[in-house]
Amino acid sequence: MDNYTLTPTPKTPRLYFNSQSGDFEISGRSIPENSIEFYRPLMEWLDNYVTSPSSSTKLTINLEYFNTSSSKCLVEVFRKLEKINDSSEVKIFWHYEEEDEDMQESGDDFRKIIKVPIELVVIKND
Amino acid sequence: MNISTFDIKHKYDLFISKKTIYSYLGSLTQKELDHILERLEAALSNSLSSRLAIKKIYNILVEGVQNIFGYLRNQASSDELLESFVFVNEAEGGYKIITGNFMQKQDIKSIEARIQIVNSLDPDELKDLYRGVLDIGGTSDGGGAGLGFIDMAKKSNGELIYNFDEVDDKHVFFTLEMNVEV
Repeated sequence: MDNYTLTPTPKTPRLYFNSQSGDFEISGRSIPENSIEFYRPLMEWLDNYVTSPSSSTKLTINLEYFNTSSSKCLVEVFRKLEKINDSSEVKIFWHYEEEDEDMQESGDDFRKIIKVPIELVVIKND
Repeated sequence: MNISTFDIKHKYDLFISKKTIYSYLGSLTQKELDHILERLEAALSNSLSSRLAIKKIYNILVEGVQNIFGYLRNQASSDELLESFVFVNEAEGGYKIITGNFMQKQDIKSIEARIQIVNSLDPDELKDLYRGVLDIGGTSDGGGAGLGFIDMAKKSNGELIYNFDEVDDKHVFFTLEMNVEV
């Protein structure tokens, strides 16, 4: 199956989903008015991916901003990955900037409700 | 009085001061929404030195303005109804964010109920509520996540201050104020 990639815009993130390697990335900003519409093609792609996933699936989330409607879509993305937790080694890396308590807390929120390991990764400011 | 005679400019003028670092008064269309967010970010970058503070305020503003936009988009009525305002004012220990927009009278109850719930909760309870709503999934009546007010309450300190001004038998003007410590 093809990879799913999307270049970032001021309101939407970079999406990089490699079906072969299982390396996934959502980075930048996720503040579209209609998040459901924005994430729909990715959801469909993931529905396909979970039928024959790579042996390991690593999702990197590195967001500067996201709105609450995007957070619901992220939950949906994570739930898709819960489905392959047995057949693929799934791990989510949630990045947050040092001292950005809101973003750290968001990672924590997801960790509490999602049944896939989520590692919080701090980005140090020099 | 009706929407076209309601003096939104007067209402707007009440909030404008030397402490205003960003304000907008006009129609909240899709195009304007994008411009507002761009100009807002530029204004914040010019007046605030801390990147994290900029992030925090921008985040709340995006949520607040998109909350209004999402609501108004679902009201299939006149352009006049889209007239809104947004403020970021310097305040003691941080910033005050103010939004103002027209609303259908019939929606007062549900909006007021949401605000009263988040205002009654302490930070830990807000966190739990946020997680709970996130966990359930789906979308709210407004087409949003149903997390807007919870998120704004979580990120602002203290309660959401709100007011409904009578406009006509179908409409009110809704003002929302939040204090953000940075």
